[in-house]
Amino acid sequence: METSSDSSDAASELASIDEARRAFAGSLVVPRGYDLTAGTATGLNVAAVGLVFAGGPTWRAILGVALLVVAMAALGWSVRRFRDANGAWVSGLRRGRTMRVTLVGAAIQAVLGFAAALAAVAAGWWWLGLLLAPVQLVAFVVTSRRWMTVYRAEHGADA
Amino acid sequence: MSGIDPLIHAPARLRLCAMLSVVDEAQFATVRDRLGISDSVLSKHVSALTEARYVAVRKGVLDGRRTTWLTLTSRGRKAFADHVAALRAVIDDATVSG
Repeated sequence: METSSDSSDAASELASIDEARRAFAGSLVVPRGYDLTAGTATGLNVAAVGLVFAGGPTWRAILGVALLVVAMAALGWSVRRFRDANGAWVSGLRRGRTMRVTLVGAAIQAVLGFAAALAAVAAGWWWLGLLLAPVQLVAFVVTSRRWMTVYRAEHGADA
Repeated sequence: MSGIDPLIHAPARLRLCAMLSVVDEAQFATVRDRLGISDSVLSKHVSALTEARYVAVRKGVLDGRRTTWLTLTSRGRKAFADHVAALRAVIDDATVSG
């Protein structure tokens, strides 16, 4: 049989848990320029796909691979800046309400990347990836900011 | 209180698990500062939780400094979720019977 003391203790513990979650989630900051850097990296990925898949002159493939390397380095640098700024890391793959935003962002990049690859292979339009790269950049910035808003709301840190 | 996990029942461990539950991993120093406890006290809590495989510890290097990162494992996440559910059940029972 539960006593009112048990109930009071449980309520106090839950309040402590909620406060710890809210305070930590609310303390996380997005470093200045993080969205732009990481977004540019994902945009470069889309551009690189078109260049690599188009075939043709060797310079295109070399440029495509170079863009991929730069994109990976930029992504790694972005993650490190986030870790340094917060002493913590939150990936987009965590369970919860944020997963939907992650999936939307991943779907947009997959569609743009597939379009760039298809256009390159089927029509030789290696340049389409370059045109779609800024679209990917904007999509990333929008979904990234939305992700953080949903994350903070999920943990009651949006006030 | 039945269903309560004694391993994470202590206030500091409860808050430690709560913090780790909202991130993928957190630096030892960050957690220590947030909890307002000493290195040694946090180390003891982390050791107990690591032994139970609730928390995983990873060593890293940042700007030449050795750093320690803490992660709530899937086992730890489940234990913590069960603990929170047990607390809610206690409150619900008290509300119904009261």
